[in-house]
Formats: sequence, structure tokens, C-alpha cells
Amino acid sequence: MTVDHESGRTGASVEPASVPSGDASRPSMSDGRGKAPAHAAPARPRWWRGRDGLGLLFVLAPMLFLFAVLIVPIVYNMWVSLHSWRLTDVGGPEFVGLDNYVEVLWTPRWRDTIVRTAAFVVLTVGLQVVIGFGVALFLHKHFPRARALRVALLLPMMVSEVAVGNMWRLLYNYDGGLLNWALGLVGIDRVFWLGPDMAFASIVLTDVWQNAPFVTLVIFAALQTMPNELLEAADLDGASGWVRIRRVILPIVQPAVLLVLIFQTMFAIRAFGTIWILTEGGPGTATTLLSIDIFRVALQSYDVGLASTLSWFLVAINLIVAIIYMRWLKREPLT
Amino acid sequence: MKRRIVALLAATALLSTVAACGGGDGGSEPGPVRLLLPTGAFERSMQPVLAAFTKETGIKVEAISMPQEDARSRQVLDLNNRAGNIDLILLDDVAWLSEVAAQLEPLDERMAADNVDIGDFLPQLVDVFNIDDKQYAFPLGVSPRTLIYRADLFEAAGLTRPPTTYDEFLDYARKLNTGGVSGFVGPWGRASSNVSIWLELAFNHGLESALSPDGKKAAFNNPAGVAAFKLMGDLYTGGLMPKDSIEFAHDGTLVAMQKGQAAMTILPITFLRAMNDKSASPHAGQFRIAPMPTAAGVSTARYVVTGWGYGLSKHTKNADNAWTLLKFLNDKFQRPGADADPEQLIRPASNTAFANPKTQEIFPDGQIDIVRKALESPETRPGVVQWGEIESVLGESLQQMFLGKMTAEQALADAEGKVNKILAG
Amino acid sequence: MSRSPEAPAPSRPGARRIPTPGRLLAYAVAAALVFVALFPIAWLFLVSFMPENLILRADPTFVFEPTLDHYRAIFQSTRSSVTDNLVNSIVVTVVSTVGAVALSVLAAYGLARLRPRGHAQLSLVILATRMLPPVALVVPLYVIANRADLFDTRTALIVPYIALNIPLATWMLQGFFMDLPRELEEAALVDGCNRWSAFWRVILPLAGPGIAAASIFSFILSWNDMVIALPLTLSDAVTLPPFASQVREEEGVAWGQLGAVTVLIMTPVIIFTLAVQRWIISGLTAGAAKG
Repeated sequence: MTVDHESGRTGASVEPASVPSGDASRPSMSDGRGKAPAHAAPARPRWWRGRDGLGLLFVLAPMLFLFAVLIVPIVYNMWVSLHSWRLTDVGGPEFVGLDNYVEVLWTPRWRDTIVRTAAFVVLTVGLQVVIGFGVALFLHKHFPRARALRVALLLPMMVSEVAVGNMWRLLYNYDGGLLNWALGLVGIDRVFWLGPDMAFASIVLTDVWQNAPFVTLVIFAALQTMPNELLEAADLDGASGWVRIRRVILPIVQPAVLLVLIFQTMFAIRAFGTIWILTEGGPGTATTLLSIDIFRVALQSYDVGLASTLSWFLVAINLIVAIIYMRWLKREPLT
Repeated sequence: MKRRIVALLAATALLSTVAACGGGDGGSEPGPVRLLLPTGAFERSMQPVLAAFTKETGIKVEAISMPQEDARSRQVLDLNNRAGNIDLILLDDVAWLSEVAAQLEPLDERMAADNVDIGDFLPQLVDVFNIDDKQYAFPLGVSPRTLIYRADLFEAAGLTRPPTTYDEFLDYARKLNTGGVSGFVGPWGRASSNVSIWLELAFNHGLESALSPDGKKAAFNNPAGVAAFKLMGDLYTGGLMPKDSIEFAHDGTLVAMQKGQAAMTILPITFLRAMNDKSASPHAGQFRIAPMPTAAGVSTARYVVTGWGYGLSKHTKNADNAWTLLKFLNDKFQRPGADADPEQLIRPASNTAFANPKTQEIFPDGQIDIVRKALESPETRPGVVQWGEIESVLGESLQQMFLGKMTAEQALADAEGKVNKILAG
Repeated sequence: MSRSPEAPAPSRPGARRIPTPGRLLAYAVAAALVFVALFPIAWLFLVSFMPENLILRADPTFVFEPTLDHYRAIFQSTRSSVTDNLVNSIVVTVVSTVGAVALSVLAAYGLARLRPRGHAQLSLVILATRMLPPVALVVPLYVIANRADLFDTRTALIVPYIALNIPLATWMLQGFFMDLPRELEEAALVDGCNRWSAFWRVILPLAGPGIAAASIFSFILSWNDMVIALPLTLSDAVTLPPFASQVREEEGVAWGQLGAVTVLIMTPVIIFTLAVQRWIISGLTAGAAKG
């Protein structure tokens, strides 16, 4: 299939090499590219011809791998979601069409979980970006060269979820946890961190602790690419802090923000290990997110049909959010 | 479209290559006998016995330890896929057994052929692993849950004997609830633990059975079920339990008792030894067991018995060795010798085990009779495939009540509706 | 050393060394940040050397006679061999990281440099494959692993880890490749390289920092994974994170041992991070800015 392309697309014109590839204004996709003015591409070298075929050739092996290893389970998952199937059933799967989907939508219990998951994602990702951005600005301003500092701030993100869950359980412990001990030192009553009122906030806090460093790091990296003159010019104009951030810094780091938003959303939406260890979704359903319910339904109730369905809701939320981001930041996925 | 088909074909081809690579070394000669162990006391009691087995027979055993919930889901995956990676299936009484019974080989034929004797076990406990007159396992580590209390705190509060009714029980809990010590503590945070306690409390309030005789409908939404639900709620919302006990499983409850944070609990009796362990608790020696209180109109206390046995997987490639091991375990746990590990004797299940002096040591001053009596009239969790799911529904309802979001009546009615749907579905 | 082309020449206002009040405040803030980031980890570290009876006390002690009991306990565990688990973890992680990054380099180069028709959609598709939660893949992967007779083998972990890592690594590398000046390849072709050797000899070496950044993320995912490792292994191929779950007993969590296992799991990651941190930062500088 690559051969067709090679012969058919030899004359395609391309944008000039000097156009920065991250530029949002540049037309993308193949038809846009086709319309690009020919004079912009002077004396295209011969290797550039047939890059469609070659490009796809490069992508072929990874795609095949993804296909075999992820797509097959995903398709299987889709198939299972259309069936009523408990692993403990002797009968095996029974086709029920969209019943599972209808059930998820009509059962308050599942709807609540979906809403709670959305709240968790918005809160954690929001906090991560705000805090991560703040810390990145701080580092950029005061410690742009302090590598050790960055490495130190990087560590939480390197620690496995199991470890994070356990170390925070140790800190949150009502009786012997250091957090309550520290509160006691300043005369504040013990807080039931994993109790009904605080559990949700506590898992958000832990998640932010673990994942904000990634945001800091990526945005810091983006800030480092910012030409200094820009800031100096803004200083001359007398722009205040907030205006400076909005007018000068944000446009520069916008692509990084998109990357961070998409990745952090993906991570937050399926956060599981840490929460499982901290609360197992409790008390009640206070910290039950979709991933927790998927695990419970699949591996404790063995209702794999319903679990697969729930996981498709998770994917749907994820895709919707990703598309909103891309629209919002007016940027092609990656062009 | 054509491209997609090509890609699909390629993917299939790739998958089959991968499959081919792995296919070579799946040897057919039986390896060691594989089984799972739940981390904790039962694991520690099994390890020396398994070592002795290998020494005696030369048959290797691979025992893989993991938390019991992990073990449960792995086994279901293994059996359902007919994978045969696990030879002996760990069973937590009839609740786990009924989930997997269709994938297990009943032991009756083998028992008849080899003349296996199970006569010394308490017959009621043997029945815990019996479905439709087929025996699937031996009762290697079963135990009842009952009231455990601190004798010193009782004495200090002027309480001369354990409570016998639930009014008295609540009254005691209030009296003992002073000076930083809670009147009661229990595993209110984990469905698999607190639902069994609720069942036991409901039985002692006069509940006949949790489900209808045919297992198709919930039968627990009645005064007895509600009273037990309400009792559990009142204990927590009335401030008679540690604030954080709604996130406790068995372990948290045990630790709270060891640390002296509460005066009473309801736990499987296996935990008595860990409480009375001097290296684990400053209050060791003060923990005692008492019979379950009963509500008006209930003449004898009833006990929910849970615990371990091993069944034989239908898909094992190592059935004969696995059966040899089962027979060995049956013998060692049924007739523990003088050298038997105390960890094993915390779950006495046979006349020999009860007679063992070390068992008497664990349950001194006549407490052993309470254990024996409890085991002679055991109740089990209902033997329906869906019990795991029902447990989580009930557990969630309990928590809604603990958090004050529902009254006991509402919570139980809500659970009833969901359970009926599960049983019908 | 080769810095990314767009890195600016630094002369920042904050770089002055006079300890003004503002500067002191900055130091205080930095110290607080480091404390928040590191304290939970450090505390678990301490706990792993703490006698069991001092852990989780209402009046915590920070000064105590350290003990190696917990480490001894996990290395002498009658349950399973930590050293075997460690070896499994290392093999699985290294192989899957190399595999994932190699495939991702191809994909990213193809998409970002050669920009074939539909590359934008393709890269979105690649990313979208990562949106299904691993929990949802467990049952199908388990079935496939058993059918293929791969259950409880390292391969059964390596293959899904590679697949799970490709999307993220490809995204990061794409940004990186786009930044390399096109003239480099053109010059190489003029010099008589073919396309493949232009990629192999010229572009790839320059992509070092991006590759380092992508590998560390792949490394972390594979090294820390528990959701897939738990059901797909049983005894031979068990990695460290499932081992960590064993310290949770019926009678309570053995916190000291848990600390020890966690230290064991964290240490290689920390060492690896320190070893390649220079490239992580510059890799992200390039990748993130455009990516």
C-alpha cells in the first residue's frame, strides 16, 4: 500500500523548511499542504519526494505493534461490552446489545461515579497546572540553573503508585500519622484525612503532589526556550505581572500547556493504584472513581461485560476532554 | 478499507508469531503443586506443613503468598480460562466455593478410593465445603467470629460478666466509652468483613436466612436484618467507635485493639492470639472471648463461620500430586500432633485439635468451650455464586448508613432492591 | 556539549548572587518546595530503618537506632525471592524500554519529519490507543497471554509495556524531531547518504536528549506497573511491585517491610533519574516546547 502513495504523490508541494513546525496558523492536513504556494519551496531536494510512502513505512512497524497488542484487546473489550457476561457464569457471554450502556446511564450509582471522576480530573489537572505553572515561573525566575533543585522536585513523579499510596497512608493515618501530629504541635485538632469529609480532598492532594512535578518540568522547559528580549520588551512597556503572563508567556508555553493538559488528563482519568491503596474508593463512595469501579466490577464482581462498558465511558470522557483542549487552545493535534 | 484489512491480517500474523515463540517451552511433565496462600496466620501455619510434605514425599510445592482478595480474583481468572496454572484452589468457605464449584473436581470419588478419613473433624465444619452432597475441600482453617473484650477494662467499669443481650451490649459500649478508649471497634470499612458481622448479628436477632431457600431473592429486609443494621450504625454514629474505624479492615481493628483504643470488638477468633501476643500489645493477656449476645426471642447464639480449605482444580495437569498433598493436609490439620504450630491451632476444627494442650493455652479458662460451641452450630455465608457482589452492595449500604446518608431502613431496603436485581440477572 | 538550538543565552535577573531580601525569600520558597516534594519519600525511607514498635506512633520519634531487620526480612522472606523479582523487574523494564523507544523513534521520525499524508490523524490515533485504562485491558491481555502460552513469562509483560509506552514516547519524540533543522538531512543526502543512513547517522545521534527523555518515562511506567504485572504473572515472572503487595497481611501492614520494599523499588529509578537528568531536562526543553 505504500507503493501507490510513492508514485502518486511525487509532485506534492511542501511548506518552506523555515516555517516553525509548531505554528498554529500553518495549514495542516494533506489538502492544506497541497495548496501551499509552490514558490515557497525552492528547489526541493530529491530525497523529499515520496516521503508519504517513506513516512508511512516508518510508522508501519510501531502501528502494527500497537495494533496487535492494544487494538486487539480494545476490540475484544468492545465486543465484551455488548454482552452480559460474568466470569463465574457457567454459560459464557450472552449478546445483549447496548443494554450495558443503557444500564450505566440509567443507574444513579454509575452516573455519580462518572460525575465524581470528572470532578476529580478537573480538580487535579487544574491544580496541577496552576501549581506546576507557578513553580515553573518561580524556578525560571530565580533558579534557572539549579539542576539539583529540579531533580529534587522531579522525584515524586518517579515513585510508583503503590509506594505513593502507602507513604501517604502513613502520613494521613488518623492516630499515628505525621500530618495529625504536626497539626497537634500547632494546637489544631486531628483531621480524619481519609474520612467522609476529607477523603476526596486527600486523594486530590496526593495526586497533585505526585503529578504536578511533570507540569513544572515541561513548562519550565518551555519557558527556557523563551527569548529573553520578549520579557525585557514587556518590562519596558510597563506590563504588569498578570498581563505579562497572559500576553507574553502564555503564547510561548501554550503548546507545552496542551501537552501537559492532555497527558495529565489521561493520567488523572485513570488514576487507580494510589487511590485503591488509600481508600479503596471509600468511605461510602466518596472516592470511588471510574477506574475503581471498573476494577471492582471486573475483578471482584467478575461482571466483565459491565466493566468493559464502564471503561468505554472512561475513554469517551478522555476523548471529549482532549478534543475540547485542542479546540480551546486552537491547535491541531500535532502538526 | 482495503488498507484496514491488510493491517488486520498483519496484526493477526504478528500475534500468531508471538504465540509461536512462546509455545515451545510449555512442558507437559508435572512441575510442583501450585497453590495460593493468603498472607497472614493461615499462611504461617501452612508453610511448615508444606515443607514437611515435600520432605516426606519428594513432591515439590510452590506456594504463592498474596493478599486474599488478589488470590480470589486470580483463581477465578485461572479457572474460567481453563488455564490450569493453579492446581489447588484456595477457598474461603462456601462463599468462594460456590463461585468456582463448577470448575472444581468433587473429592468424593478419590476419598472413597483412598479410604480418606475425615471423622475427627467436627461434621458441621466439613459441611462448610459441601454443595449438593459433594465434598470439595477439607476444613483446614475455619473459625467463627465472636465478641472479644478487654477483661481489665470490664473490671474497671464494674462489669462482672460479658453482655448477653444487645441492649446490654450497647449499654456496656457506652459505659466503656471513656478516657480515650472507645466502647467498641470493628472492621466497618471493608465489605468482606463487616457484612459477615452484620449477618451474624442478624442471625442473633432472629434472622432465618439471608436469602430465600432457592437463593433467588433477598430475605434479609425484616426486623432482624434492620435491627442488626441499625445496631452497627448506632455504634458508629453514636461515637462509640474510633472515628477512623469506617476505613478499618480486620487489620485496622486488630491494631486498634492491640493499642488499647477500644474495649470490645467482633472478629474471627483467630485474632485472639495476635492480641494476646506480648510483643504486639501492652494489653496482652487481657483479651478474652465471650459468646455472642442474643436478642429477645433467640434462644441460642449463632455464629458465622468463615475460613480456608483447598479444592482441586478441574484444569490441573498435576491432579495426582495435588491430591496427595490434599490428603496430607487433611491429616495434619485434622490430627495435629504435639509438635503442631500454634498458628494452626488458633483455628481448631477437630476433636484432636481441641484436645491439644496448645489449643487450651490459646483459649484458657474455659474459653475453648465457647469456641467449640460456636463451631457446633455454624452458619455460613449463603452459597450463591453472586455472594461476592452482594457483599459489596451490602457493604456500600452499610457505609451510607454510617455516614448518615441513609437510615438503617432505607439502606437495607436499597440493598434489597439491588440484591434482588443481582440474583435475578 | 550540544544544547538544543533554541536554548537562549542566559543572563537572567535572578542570577545575581547578592542576597537581597527577595532572594532570601526565594531560597525559603525553594526550600519549602523541596521539603514538600521529598518529605513523604524521606519519611518512608526512615521508616524502613525504624524498629517496628516506633512506627505509626502518636508521638513520632525522629531519632532512633536504625535497624536492618526489615531488609533482612524481605530478603530472607519464605514467600518469594526478592532477588528473582528484582532481576525480572530489571529485564522486563530494560527490554520494554528499549523496544518502546526504538519503535517510537521510527514512528516519531516518520510522522514529524517525513509528514506523510494524514500524519496528524495518525498521531492522534496513536495517542488515543493510550486512553483505554490498563485495568480494562487486564482481562483480554490475560486471555491472550494464556492462549499464547505466555502466562507468567517476562514476554507477557514486555509486550504490553512496549505497546503502552509507544504513544507517550512518540508524542515526546515528535516534538523533538520537528525542531532539528531540515538542512542537516539535506546535507547528508548531498553527501551521498541514502534516507535511511541520513536518519541513522545524522538525525538519530542528535536526537539523544529526546530519546533519553522518552526512555525515562517508559522506564518509569514499566518499572512501577502493578495493574498488569499482578494478573499476568504468578511466580516465575513476578516483578517488584506485586511483591510489595505481599507485605499487607491479615494482621496489618508490615510498615517497616513495606518501607524496605519501596526503597528497593525507588532506588533504581532515582539512580537512573540522576544519571540521565541532564538529558531529561534538555529533552523536554525540545520536546515540550513544540510538542
